[in-house]
Amino acid sequence: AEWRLSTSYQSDSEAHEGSLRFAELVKEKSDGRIEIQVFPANQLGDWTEVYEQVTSGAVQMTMGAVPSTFDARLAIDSFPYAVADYEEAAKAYAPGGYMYDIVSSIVADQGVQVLSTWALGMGGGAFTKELPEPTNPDAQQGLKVRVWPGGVTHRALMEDFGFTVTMIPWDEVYTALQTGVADGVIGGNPELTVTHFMDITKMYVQYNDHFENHYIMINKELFDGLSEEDKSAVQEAAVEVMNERFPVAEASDEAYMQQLRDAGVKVVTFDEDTMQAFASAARQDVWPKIKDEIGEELYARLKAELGM
Amino acid sequence: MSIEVIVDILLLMGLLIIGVPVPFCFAAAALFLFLTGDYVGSNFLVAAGFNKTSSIILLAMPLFILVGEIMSTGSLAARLVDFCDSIFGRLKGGLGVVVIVVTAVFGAISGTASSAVAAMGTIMVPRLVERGYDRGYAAALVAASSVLALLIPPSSAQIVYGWISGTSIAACFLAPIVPALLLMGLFSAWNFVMTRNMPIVQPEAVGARQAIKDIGVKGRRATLGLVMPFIILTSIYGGLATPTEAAAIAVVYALIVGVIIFRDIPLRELWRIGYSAGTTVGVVMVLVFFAVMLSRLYTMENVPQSVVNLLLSISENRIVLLLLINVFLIVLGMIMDDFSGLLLATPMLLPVIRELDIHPVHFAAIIGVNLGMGNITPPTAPLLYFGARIGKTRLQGMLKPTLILVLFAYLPVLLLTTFIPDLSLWLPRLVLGIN
Amino acid sequence: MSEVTPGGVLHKFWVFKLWLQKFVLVATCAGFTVLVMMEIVFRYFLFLPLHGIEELATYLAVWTYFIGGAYGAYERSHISASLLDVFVKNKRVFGVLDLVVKAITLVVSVWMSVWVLQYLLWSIERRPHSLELQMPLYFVHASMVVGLSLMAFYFFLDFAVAVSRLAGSTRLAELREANIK
Ligand code: NA
Ligand code: NA
Repeated sequence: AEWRLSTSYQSDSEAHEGSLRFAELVKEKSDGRIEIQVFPANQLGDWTEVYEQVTSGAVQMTMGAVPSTFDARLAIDSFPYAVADYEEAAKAYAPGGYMYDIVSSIVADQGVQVLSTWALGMGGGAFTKELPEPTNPDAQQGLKVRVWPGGVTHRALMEDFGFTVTMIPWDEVYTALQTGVADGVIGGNPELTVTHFMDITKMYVQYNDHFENHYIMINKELFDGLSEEDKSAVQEAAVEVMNERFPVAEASDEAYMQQLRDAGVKVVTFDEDTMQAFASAARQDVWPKIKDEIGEELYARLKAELGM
Repeated sequence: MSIEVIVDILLLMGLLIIGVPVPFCFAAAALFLFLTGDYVGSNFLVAAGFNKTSSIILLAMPLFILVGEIMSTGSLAARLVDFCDSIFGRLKGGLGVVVIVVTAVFGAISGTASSAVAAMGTIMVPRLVERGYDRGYAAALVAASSVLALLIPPSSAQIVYGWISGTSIAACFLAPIVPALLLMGLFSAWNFVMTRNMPIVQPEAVGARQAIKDIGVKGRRATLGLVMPFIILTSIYGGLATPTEAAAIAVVYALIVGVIIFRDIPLRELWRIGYSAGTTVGVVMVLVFFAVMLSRLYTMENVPQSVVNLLLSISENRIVLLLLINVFLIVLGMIMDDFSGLLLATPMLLPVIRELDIHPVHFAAIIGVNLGMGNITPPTAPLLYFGARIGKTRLQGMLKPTLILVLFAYLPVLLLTTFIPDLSLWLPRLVLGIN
Repeated sequence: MSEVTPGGVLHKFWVFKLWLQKFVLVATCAGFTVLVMMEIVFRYFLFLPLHGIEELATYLAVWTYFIGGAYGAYERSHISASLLDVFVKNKRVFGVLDLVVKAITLVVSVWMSVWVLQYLLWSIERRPHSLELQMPLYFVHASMVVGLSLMAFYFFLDFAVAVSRLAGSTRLAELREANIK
């Protein structure tokens, strides 16, 4: 069989390498019965569109984030400070982790099977101006920061962290930063900052505000209809790619932050206490304001998992 | 390339030639590929068309078309053109140069070439025809010049390129400026050649003192118009507004000037302006809608990929490959709009570009000039068709002048841009200090 | 044909339908301009970020696009690249080819109307919603169905005109052309 796998990744990114590696492993493990063609760089549409295609089977597979277009509760996937470091991320997002379970069961209702995950990196903010007090969650920073359309949860978060928040579509972000319509962007990670904003970034703050986790997903009907051999070939390949990636994701964040430093960007990372201060500000002050985004049930689950 | 794809391309050409409306030629070609291929449901194609057409970046276009409609209803644009005309108009064929220069100025307001066609076409084509220019030539000149709006910042095409290739958009904005200036020069030169035998009515000759006085008077009358690009560029580059917002500001500004200050747009005219602009936008966007569907199927059938493979199997010589890439882009530009062409070609060609050690900012200019040209190269030439619609003329009369401008202005500039990297890299280096 | 002539029921309906299309175009154009302006005013003068407003503006614009496209079909202003009248001089051959063109356009536009209708039904069933305003998207997807079926309708009229013309009658053609002006 020949399948299409669509991603938003640039052709020279680590994530694109990962998708090619997955395709290669599937071919190998299925003895050539399944060939996957990778379409990078949104060639088959952006993440929401491609996800929609996977639900209908027009595109068989995707590697990417889960959009909340069909179920608002999926906002939990990028819920601010649901996890605050790689250790917590490993627990929540690995198969069997609560976040993995929640997301898999929601998308299963939409006809999509999650096979495994791809760890993109920890989130942070890139700014074209220096923050007066980057390590103080209670300071007024006096800057305008951009959130993505639909980033309701991060809007509340950044307002709490002392910013004015403005929604700007992705296509206009760079120009907006350059001209000063916005002074910074939240929702990225070190790699995204290097590849897209390095030349205009003055300061990068590693907030760990969310864990940028992508899922390797397949049309459920297609997956369920596979022979046992093919099923396990696809499943094993996905898990192998995930296991190869997760241990190096943190180092990859580090390497990209070093690239930023080398380019003259001030990189701010938090010590443990500061990180705790940011995380508890988010969890105590912001969460009650945004809990409706994910619903009472998931909110209770989230708090229980964190022992709150 | 599969036999279905080849048949499909022939089908597309055939339908275009017998005169099926272009959007439905695309729709038919998409339908054919869909029916002969292995696809699950048509929803993904509708979604593709819908998502592309509902992009916020495109929203600037209807707004700038509204600006054009308002500007051409009132006297604002005419005053602007009058001023430029008072400078160049006394030369034989000078009104053609006015088109080129004013379109370039307009390009500094607008990120899309179609809005330049809309604004300039409505104003300039009737005026050129009045002075004895051939209508087809007038529309062709407007369409060809409108590509300047894509090359002069702000440019939505460069934003898309920078985004896909991970290149600084500021640098990409600057890269095609010098090629654009070269194009303006060549257009003006060819304009004088091509209008030589037209029965052009020249304004009566006057003395130098009178001419300067005239420029002063026209300049004053045009002040409120001349301020407009300034307002827009300040809003965008001063960090006050996004291009879409700046476009809305332009609409409101043009309305205030036309309805309240000059009082030359009666209120009842607003009704006509609204539905007429809406129709112009709609006709273009339905075309985009179906073009996106067809482009998506071509991508899924690996059409562009097979072309690249073919390229690399032919030669490994840098110059030969650069020429081949240009030929490939020209072909792509013929069958696609610049947006779809960019989305398809950039990710595919970047590996080749890196292998050849070509600067991505340099490539921004190459791809910009090339796919910009594709917009006026038949059979798929949205700007040319749009120019025909705005200029109220048929395509046939536009073909010859367009072909001359493509062959003897665009192609030379394309070659210069391709083989002299400094042409596109000089400005970004100077302003941004890129390597 | 008395219903079609001025004063007839069909004619009144026809006039109303055209007025409605124009009204939608004017209203949506005014709508998205005002919305984008509001965004600026809110940001700079009221110091309030107004979220989701660009989304609403874009969705209004999509209605403009498809109703505008339909009005373009009524006005016969869709872009066409015909090289036919350059090569075909025989009137009869031209008439037949014209009929073929009209038939293809009609079939394709009907087919596309079905596609967008299927998509709308899917959208009503699965309820995808917009990212910012959480608004059900079928309000927007419906514009494609309304616009494309109207286009198909006008292409049907043009097809009927081509048939009657080939049969030697010019009455339909006159009615249609008088109506455009
Ligand atoms: Na421009
Ligand atoms: Na073309």
